[in-house]
Amino acid sequence: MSGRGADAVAVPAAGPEGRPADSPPARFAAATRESLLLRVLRRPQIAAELGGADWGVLLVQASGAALGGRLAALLEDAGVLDRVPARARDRLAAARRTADRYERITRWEVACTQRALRGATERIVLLKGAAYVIAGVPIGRGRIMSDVDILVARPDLPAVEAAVRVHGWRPVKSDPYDEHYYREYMHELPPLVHEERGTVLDIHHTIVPPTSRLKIAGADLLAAAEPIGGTGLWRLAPPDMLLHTAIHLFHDGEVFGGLRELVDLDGLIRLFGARPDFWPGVVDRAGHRGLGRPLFYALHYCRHFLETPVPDMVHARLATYAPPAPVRLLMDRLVAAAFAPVSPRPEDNGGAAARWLLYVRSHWLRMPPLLLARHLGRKALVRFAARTPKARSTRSGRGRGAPDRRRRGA
Amino acid sequence: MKVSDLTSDAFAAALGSGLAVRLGPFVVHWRVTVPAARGPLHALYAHHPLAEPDEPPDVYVDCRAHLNPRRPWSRRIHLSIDGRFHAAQARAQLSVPALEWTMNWSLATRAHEYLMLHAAVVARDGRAVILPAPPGSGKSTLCGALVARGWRLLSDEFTLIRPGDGLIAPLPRPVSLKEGAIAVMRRFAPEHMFAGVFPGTVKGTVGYVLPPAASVAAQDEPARPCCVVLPRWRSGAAVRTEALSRTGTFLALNRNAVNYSILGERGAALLAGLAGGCPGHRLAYDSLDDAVDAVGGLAA
Amino acid sequence: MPTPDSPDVWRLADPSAFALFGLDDDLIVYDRRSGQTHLFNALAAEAFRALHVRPLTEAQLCALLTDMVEPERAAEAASALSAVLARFAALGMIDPADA
Repeated sequence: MSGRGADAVAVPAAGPEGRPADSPPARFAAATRESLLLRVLRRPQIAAELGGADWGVLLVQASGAALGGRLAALLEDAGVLDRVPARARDRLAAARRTADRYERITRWEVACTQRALRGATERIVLLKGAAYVIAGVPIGRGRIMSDVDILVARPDLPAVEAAVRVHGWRPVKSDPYDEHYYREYMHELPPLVHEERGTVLDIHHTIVPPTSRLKIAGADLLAAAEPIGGTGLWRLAPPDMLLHTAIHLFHDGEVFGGLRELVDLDGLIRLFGARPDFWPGVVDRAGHRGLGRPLFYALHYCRHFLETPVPDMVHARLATYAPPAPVRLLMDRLVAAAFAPVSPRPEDNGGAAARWLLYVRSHWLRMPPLLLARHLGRKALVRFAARTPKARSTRSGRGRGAPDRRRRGA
Repeated sequence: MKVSDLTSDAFAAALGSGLAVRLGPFVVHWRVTVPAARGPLHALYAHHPLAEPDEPPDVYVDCRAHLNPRRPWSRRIHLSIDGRFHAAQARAQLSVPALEWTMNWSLATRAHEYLMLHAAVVARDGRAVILPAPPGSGKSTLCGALVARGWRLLSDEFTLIRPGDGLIAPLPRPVSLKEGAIAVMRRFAPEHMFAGVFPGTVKGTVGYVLPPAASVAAQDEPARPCCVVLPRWRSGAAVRTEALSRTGTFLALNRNAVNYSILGERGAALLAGLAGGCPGHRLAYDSLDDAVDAVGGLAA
Repeated sequence: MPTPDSPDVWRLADPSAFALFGLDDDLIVYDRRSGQTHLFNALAAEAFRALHVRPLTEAQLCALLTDMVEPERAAEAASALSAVLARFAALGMIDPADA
C-alpha cells in the first residue's frame, strides 16, 4: 500500500460499533476500512467469530449499504452460515428474499424487453445488474436492483424507442420540456416506465454519464461486446464492464454512489482478472482521454478497502493517471467518508462525516488543490471537528461550481 | 427477566443507554432519551421479557430530542430506525405513539421471514381467528374487546404466518385505539388497563391497552388459523355474518398482505391454503358484545 | 390479436412456470417468471387447463368450451374467450406455436 496519511494514523481498538465512537475526520479513512462490514467483506470467515452485539451492528451496516443480500451470498459461499447466530441468519434470509424478488423482476423485465425489441435492433447489450443476473455470475446474486439498463446502437434508437412504446413503456418525465432537454442536450432517451408493471427501462447508446464530458463511442462498446450464452443477449467486454462502474463511481472528481459499486468492481476483477486479455484491455482504455483517472481510483480504492488482487504492474501503469498527491489525499478522505457504513446510532451518521464531506467539496470548488491540501492539513481537520458551526457557515451550497477547478482536482 | 422487574429508575437509565426487549419473535433495541416516554413504555411493555444477552437485535429504534442549532427554539423529537432518520414529532408527549408507529413500520419492512398480513389475530383453545381490515374498520376495537373477554392476543397489527408450516407466530403488543373507541372500551371492559392516552396526534386521540400478561407469556407458542373474519363496525347495525367464498377469502387476505410480492410462490401457496382451509366471513355489527359472541360462534 | 378465424395455434409459453391453486370454480395462477398472481374465472381456468394439455387454435378452444355451457350462452362464451386469449398473450403466458 502506498504511504498515505490515513495508514499512518493509529487506530484505537474498534468499539462495539466497529469503529471509534468519536473519531475525528482525520481518522475516517482508517475507520471506514476497519469497520465490521469492510472487514467481513475482505474476510467472510471472521463472521463465524462475531458475537451478538457485533452482528447487530454488521447487519445494520450491510443493509444500510444495500449489501444485505450480497453479504448473505458471501457467507453462504464461505460456508460459515451455520456458525451465524440464528437470529442473524433470519435477517440475512429476509434480505436474501428481498434480493430474490429483485432478481425475478429483473429476469422478467429483460425477457419482456427482449420480446419487445425483436427486429428493432441487432444487438441488445445488458448493463450492470441485469447483465450480472442474466450471465449468472457471483456478483449477480443478492443484488438490490431497480432499473434495467441496456445499450443499443445509436442509429437504432428511433426504432428501439418506437418498439418499446408499442409494448407499453412511456417516458418517466411526462413534461415535454424535460423530454426535449434529454433528447437534444443530453442526446439520450429519457428513462421509460412500463405503464402496467411500473418498472423502469433505461436505453443507452454509450456508458458515459450524460452530465460528464468524457466520450466513449458506443460502436466500440458494441463491437467488443460478448454474447451471454443461450440467451440471444450480450454483455460488455469485461474491461468495459469495469470501466462502466468506475466512470459512474468516480467521474468528474466526485464520488457518486457508494460501497456497493466498489464491491461490484472487486467482484468483476476477481471474476475476469485471470483472462489474458483483461488487464491489457484495462490499461489500454486508461490511455484514452479522461478515462485513466477514474480507472486509477477504481483500482486504488478496491485495493485499499477490499484487498482486491490487482497486479503490481497494472497498478504501476495506472499510477500515470493518478492525481497530485495532495489531491489524492483529499480524495482518500472523501471516499472514506462516502463509503463509511451506517451506524445503529443516529448520532454517528450524517453528522461530522457529512458536514466534513460538504466542507471539503465546497472548498474544492474554490481553491487550487495544493493550497487546499495545505489548508486542510491533518491538524486542521482535527480542529475542524470541534468547530462545526464554522464549517456550516463556509458551506457554499454551490453544487457543480467552477468546472475547470473540478477538472484539475479530479 | 421482564421489563417490570426493572425499577422505574433502572428502566429509564437502561432506555437511555440502550435496552433490548423481545416482542414476539423479534428483538427490538430501544434507545429513548425522552423523559415523557419512560413511564408509558414501562407500563405498556411491563410483561415483555428482556432480550437474552448477546442476541443480535433485529432492529434499532432510537427516540431522542433533536436540537437544531439554527433554530434552538424548535425542539423536535427524532425517531430513527437502524441509525437512519425516520420521522419527527413536534411534541415530546407524543413520543410513545410515534415510537409505536415507527416500530410498526420497521417490522413491516423487515420481517420477510414471515408472510405478513395487516390484520389482528386472536386465539382460543389453540384456534386462531384472523381479522384483516384496513384502518377505520374497527378491527382494533373488536380485537380489544375479544381480549377483554379472555381471548389470547396474538397481534393487534400484524399477523405473522410462518412459511414452513402455516402457523401464526404471536407478536403481542399494546392494542391501539382511537378517539371514540377509547370511551367504548372503557365501558365494555373497565378493568382493561389503558396505560396511556395521547390526545393531539395526527390520528387524533390515541390510547393504548396493555397486552395481558398471559398473552405475552405465550408469545412463543404459535397458533393454527381456523377462520378469517372481516369486521365492519356500523352505527346501529344489527349483528350479521355473511360467508365468503374461498375466492373472496383469498382476495381479502391478498389485499391485506403486506409483503406478498416478496414471498413469491410461497406467499401464493400460503394464502391459497388459508383460503381453502379456513372459512371466511364478513361481520357487520354495532354492539361489541354481539360481535364477540359472533366471533366465538364462527370459530367454534 | 387472436380472432376466431385466426389459424394461430396457441400454446403455454412455459408450462413449468405456473403454480396452480384451485379455489371453488376459480383458479389462482402464480407465474414464477414474473412473480404475478392471477385469478382466473371458470372460463379462463378451463381454457388455461386445455392449453396445458396441448396447443390449440382459438376455434378448437371455442368448440371445447362451448360444449360446457348452455347453448344460449355459447356466443357470449366465444367472445369472452377471445378477450381471455388476448389477455393471456399480453401477459406472456401463451405464445403462437410454430405450426
